[in-house]
Amino acid sequence: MNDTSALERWYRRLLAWFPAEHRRAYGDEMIGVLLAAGSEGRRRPAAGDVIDLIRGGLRARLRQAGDGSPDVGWRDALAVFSIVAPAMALEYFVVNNAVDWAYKLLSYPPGMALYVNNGPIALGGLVIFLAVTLPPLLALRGFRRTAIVAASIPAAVLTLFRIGSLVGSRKNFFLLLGLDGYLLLSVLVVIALAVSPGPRRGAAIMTARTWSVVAIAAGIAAVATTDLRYAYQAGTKVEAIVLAATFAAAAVGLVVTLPARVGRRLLLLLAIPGYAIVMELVANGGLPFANTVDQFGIGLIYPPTAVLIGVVGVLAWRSGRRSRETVDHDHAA
Amino acid sequence: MIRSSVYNTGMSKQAMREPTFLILTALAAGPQHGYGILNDVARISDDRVRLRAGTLYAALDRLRSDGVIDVDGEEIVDGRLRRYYRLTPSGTQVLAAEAARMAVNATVAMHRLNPGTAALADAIA
Repeated sequence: MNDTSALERWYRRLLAWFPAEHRRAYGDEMIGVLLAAGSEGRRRPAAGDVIDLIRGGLRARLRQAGDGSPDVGWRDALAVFSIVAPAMALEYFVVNNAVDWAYKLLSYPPGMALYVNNGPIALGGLVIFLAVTLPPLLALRGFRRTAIVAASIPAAVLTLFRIGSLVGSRKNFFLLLGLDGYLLLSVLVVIALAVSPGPRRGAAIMTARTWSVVAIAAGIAAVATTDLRYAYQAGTKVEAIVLAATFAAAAVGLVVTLPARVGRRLLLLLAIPGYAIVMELVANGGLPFANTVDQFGIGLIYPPTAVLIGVVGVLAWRSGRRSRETVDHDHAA
Repeated sequence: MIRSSVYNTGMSKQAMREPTFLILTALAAGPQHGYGILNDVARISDDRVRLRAGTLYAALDRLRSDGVIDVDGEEIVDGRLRRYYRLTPSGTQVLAAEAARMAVNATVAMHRLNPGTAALADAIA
């Protein structure tokens, strides 16, 4: 075996640090450059080349795993999510509470209304809602990094509380307060702000008709579930039907008013916190299966959510891979 | 090119790293292959920056996906692939903008370090 072939084999082994796509695109070319730049008679790579190839390979893999992974369609869907999900949540909270409080204040003396409507819990809910829904406004104003930091705070706090509640005796306390949906929403908002072009791009993609769909759906859901939000009040099948019909109509409306692929991907993203929120409404509102949800708690929320996240992850990874292959093909052509 | 300009704003808004600037400068004179770029970068930087293949190709891949450079052609030399790279029109703009930014900074620095000499240099220019 001559020196060049021994050295080439060393370099080929080191190129394994790079992603397969990178090796396919540049592998042979890099070997040529490495051999041309190497000293005559050398049988093993120089230490500097070894370190450089390992570092370059790790960087290429990190880049692929980070901003290179989701393709434009997924990043656009995340951009729309970063503005639609917080807007829907905020409208839901404001309308739902306004109707609730108006009804209670008309029906009871003020002190009693505060008690019946779980005043302190409602105040805590307001703080959580504002913490989850307002950071995208910072990104809209151009403060994207500040928005990511601000959105990370409720995500971290809710995650810590959720982990803490698993250790305690009341494992379903989180479920009772309806916080799992907002935990998932806050984490997804952080991801959307970090890896997508952000709410400005989302707003540019959305049309007036998309905003109408969002506003109407959140408004109807908020009013329909008014009686479900305070404890011990049984919900009705009519409310469940209204809610299901609203979500179905909103899903169709979003797909129709957005670019097709962005709309479908947005639905998958919305379904992640949406499923948990619906299960919590069922658990707290006495809808059909409420006892089952209450009994099994997080076991009914997180396994399906994990499957959904897995499906979204695989789809995003596959489309990112297809997109990169298309770019490589375009470059090669 | 698939990626929209929405995703390519990073390079124009952030200060460019020196190896990237030198690679683009090497390509400003015309298309070059990888080994040629390595040697040219060393020459431009007076041997201060000596890129290695791993760093160079990670940078070339990133610059290609940003639309700043593109493949100009390929040939087989001694049984090995040799690919030539060139600046795209967008890459030329990016390099020109970065060079102008560095020139302004350098001028300000010279003015502050030596006001008299800098003013004389301005007058001569």
